[in-house]
Amino acid sequence: MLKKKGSWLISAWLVMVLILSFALSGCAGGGQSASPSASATPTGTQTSTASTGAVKEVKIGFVWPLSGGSASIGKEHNDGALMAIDEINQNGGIKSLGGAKIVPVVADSQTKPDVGCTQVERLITQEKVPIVVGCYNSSVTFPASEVAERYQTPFISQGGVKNEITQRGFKWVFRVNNMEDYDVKETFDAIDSFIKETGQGPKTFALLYESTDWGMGYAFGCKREGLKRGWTCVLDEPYAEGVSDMTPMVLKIKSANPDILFVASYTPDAILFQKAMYENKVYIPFGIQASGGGHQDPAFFAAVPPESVAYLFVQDDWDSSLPKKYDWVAKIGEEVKAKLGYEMNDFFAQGWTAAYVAYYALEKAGSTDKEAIRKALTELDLTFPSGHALLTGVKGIKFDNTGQNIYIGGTISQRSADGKSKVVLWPPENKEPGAQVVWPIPKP
Amino acid sequence: MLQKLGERKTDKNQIPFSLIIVAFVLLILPLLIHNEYIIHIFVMVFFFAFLGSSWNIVSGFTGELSLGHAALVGIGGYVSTLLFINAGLTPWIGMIVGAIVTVIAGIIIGYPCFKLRGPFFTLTTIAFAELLRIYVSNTETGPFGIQLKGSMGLLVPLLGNAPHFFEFSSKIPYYYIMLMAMFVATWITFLIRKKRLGHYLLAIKSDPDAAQALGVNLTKYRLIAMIISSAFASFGGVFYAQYFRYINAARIFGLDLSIEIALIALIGGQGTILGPIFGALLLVPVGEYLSLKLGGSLPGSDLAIYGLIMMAVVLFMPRGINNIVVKVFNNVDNFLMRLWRLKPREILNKKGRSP
Amino acid sequence: MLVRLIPALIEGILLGGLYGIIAVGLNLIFGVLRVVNFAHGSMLMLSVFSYYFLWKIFGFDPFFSIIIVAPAMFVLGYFLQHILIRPLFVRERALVVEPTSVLMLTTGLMFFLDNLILAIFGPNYFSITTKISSSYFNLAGVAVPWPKIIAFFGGLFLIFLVTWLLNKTEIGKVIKATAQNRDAVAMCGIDVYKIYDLTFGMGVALVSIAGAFASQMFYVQPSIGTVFGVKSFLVIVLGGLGNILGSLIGGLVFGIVEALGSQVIASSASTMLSFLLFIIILFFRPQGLLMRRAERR
Repeated sequence: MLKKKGSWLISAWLVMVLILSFALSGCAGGGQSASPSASATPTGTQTSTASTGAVKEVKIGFVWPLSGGSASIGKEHNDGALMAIDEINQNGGIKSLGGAKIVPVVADSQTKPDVGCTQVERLITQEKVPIVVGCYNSSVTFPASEVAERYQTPFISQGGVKNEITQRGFKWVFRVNNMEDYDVKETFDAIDSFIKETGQGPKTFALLYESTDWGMGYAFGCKREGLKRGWTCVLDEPYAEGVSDMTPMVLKIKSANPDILFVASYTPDAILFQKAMYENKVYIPFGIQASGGGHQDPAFFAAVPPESVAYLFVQDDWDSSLPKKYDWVAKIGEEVKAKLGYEMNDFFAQGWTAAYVAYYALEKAGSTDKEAIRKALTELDLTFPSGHALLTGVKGIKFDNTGQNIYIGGTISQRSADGKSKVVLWPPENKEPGAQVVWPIPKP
Repeated sequence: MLQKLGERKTDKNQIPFSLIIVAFVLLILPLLIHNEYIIHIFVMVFFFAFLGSSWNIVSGFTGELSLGHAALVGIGGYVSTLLFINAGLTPWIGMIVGAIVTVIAGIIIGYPCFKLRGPFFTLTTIAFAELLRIYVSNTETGPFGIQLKGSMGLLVPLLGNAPHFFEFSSKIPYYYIMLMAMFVATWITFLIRKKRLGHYLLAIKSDPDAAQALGVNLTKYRLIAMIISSAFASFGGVFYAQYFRYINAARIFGLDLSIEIALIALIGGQGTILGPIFGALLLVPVGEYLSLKLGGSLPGSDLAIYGLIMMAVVLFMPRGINNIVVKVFNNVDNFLMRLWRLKPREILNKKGRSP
Repeated sequence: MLVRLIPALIEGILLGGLYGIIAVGLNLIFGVLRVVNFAHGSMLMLSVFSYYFLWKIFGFDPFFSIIIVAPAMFVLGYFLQHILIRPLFVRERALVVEPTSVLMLTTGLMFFLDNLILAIFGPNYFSITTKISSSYFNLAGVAVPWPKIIAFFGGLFLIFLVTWLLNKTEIGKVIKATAQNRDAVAMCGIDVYKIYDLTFGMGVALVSIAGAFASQMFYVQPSIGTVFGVKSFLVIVLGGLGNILGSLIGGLVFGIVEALGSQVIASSASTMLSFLLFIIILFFRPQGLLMRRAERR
């Protein structure tokens, strides 16, 4: 008898749990579970917020990799976005909507494409966000932005560099950052200018890169540009990320003895690599050219001895000299350091700017109607600094007819002899006054 | 008596009526609920239940834990998508080619693996999946000049609504396709269990040496199970590619996916027929709910709780939730019957535990 | 190219030594309990974080902190085994020697621990910088950071210590006996489960010592568990599951193959090579390099 009672209890309890989990997972965020309006033919009109008139709050959806391989980068994007929204709200919110406050709704893509899709779908259909920002990883952005396109919801792409993101003929996808080819172009334009300035340049080059799409794309571009200039490629070394030791690669580089080295690594590998290069006293005459990723991460610089990054060239996706030039940037930087404990970097700035772009779109649209927002985005024309919006230092925000921002703002900087500070050298408009490139770098 | 020995008779007469009601509800669900997100959740439930069933056929019945099932899923997905992108071949045919390739791969992987037992087997399956993942992630152009595209992944051409190319603009066709696939997989599992193959596999599971002594050809039957399992797994990969219109090595060959599949089958009930369905019905919404509540605010905490649930189920419900859920349905049946003043069938209360 | 191979070989040996120490704990646990602890990498990660915080807050050198962390991890391991894993053994003792449910339990544990640390401490990368960790010397063309060489010899010493313990002390012999035949040991009146608890604790303590070395050579971040976790399995299978010395040999082979392989082919291909090697070894010599066929199960 006891058995029967027990199984009854378990049954009733289990049925309740199952029903509860369904109900909650489906109806989370206060959305209606059987609303005919959110059906297979989504329209641009929101049913829960009026398209004109005063609204109290407007949601903006954010999808970042907050766990998984890109977690630290995703977090920094998110920090930037959330802080930007704080500032916007403190300054009166969306004025064209009667001072409506922005409510960020953040989701974790776990660095997985299908999870990213699910989250974007949830944000659009359950949270009813009129605009989505994300997803950093190209692999997540591809399908996730397509979800937004299908739901006719504006999607601001931040972080994905693969060309195809804006080359699919989509109307609702807008990319703030540059495409991958740009990083290569910027690096080589800078090198060309150094060669012109000093009359000296490399004859041989080497490539070290993580073998997923970012690293491979960058290396492919660098190889093409290097060969175009008549240099010889002495080493082309892809490595699988998540290695426990970079010394073998360093030994290979040492024996290949290149004049210049192009590196694309994420933070953990970058840390191991830089340490090993330093300890093995590998001398690269025209420097290590690092393209973002780990080399933009403040955690990288905190983890390696300063001497190991002396004369390091870093291609940042933002103008890292901004804090020196503009007080408002320096102030934000201090706040970041105080509240979050790290040096403001481009991931933070990019998250910040992306949030601001979403805000400006809403401001310009004057409504939460998705079509109005989309139109606003196509007509958006911001120039630096647009208040505090363009923290990345990008010259402006204006999307061409594929949804790609025509302005791109990255910089090349070189670290000092003691490795503790850096100067921005390229492009000329961002070059710090009095900055001088050390080219070639002196032998230690 | 047979029930006392632990054998579970599942001929049509003994499926709980309430379960049939649930199946019917699932069939008409899209007509009742128009919320795309909920439909999507169900599609994912069916997807994982289907893959869990396919895993069950090889691992659940033989007792050897494979944690490399994603390898088979990925091969199917990649073959079909590559054919679609490069040769314009519709995935409906591409999936057959994919299934053939996957089956061959399954045999190549399985034949040596089956010589190993326990943790050796598991580690080898992991190694195979990881090998494939690293290879595809790092290779732009594979053998015969096939554009594998490395870790950028494959973007499935967007054709809007193109049923003859396995692409639909609405979720509902996907829902039904996966629902049917899940039913088919479950039915095949039931057939296997009922027929000789199932008995041989279970014999191999409980004592391979004794089975061999009785003349059961271990390798042959394991391979047959592997073939069926591979064919199903490859369909899962094709579906994933066509549903998300994107497929990449890190996800589709990933250890995460393998563990998810194995988990759903194990928590559902290893070696049971309906187990994977129950497992998916529990874990997919729970995972989604956790991610929604916690994922944005305290990243990682949702996965940590997921891990806790894993441990709790292994500790407290080692045979999976299958038995408990079936009991629940039986109780519901009894309740309904009492409601309609019918006498509850004696047999239902004495249902044996599944092996 | 030959010039390159020697420093690479040295690097491979040193790295291999580290792999070996990390794997020793896992191997001990497997040899006795027949359990592959998927949460092994998480244990390493936990200990690395402990060293980091002891260093950050109190300024303790990780080598010193070993006397704090190792016993603490021993206790943790003991209780993990006692509370979580033992019930599974008891439950399934009639059926199998190694319950497969333990595999899923340790996987769940890994998920839980890795993500708990991620949730609490975030995804950022930290690192420990002490005087020792930043000094290095040159050996035949390759720079060897002091922690690496200390790790190598320390690890060697540790492995021989463990082997001595197992062979010469009373408790060690009991553990060894349990590894060979648990039923016989039970019949001698020894509480097998208590031995399991002890062994698990020892295994976790061992990997936490390895963590002291790792924390100075690498970075402190939740994913460090996964980087070494998978490799540890490959290493113990290479060397022979259950053979302590085998962990060292397996680690060395693995490290050398990785290092030398990277010189000959691209590094990404060399990673694949390691997996391929693993699969080949498993097919042709599944008992590993050091075990005899009969000892496999």
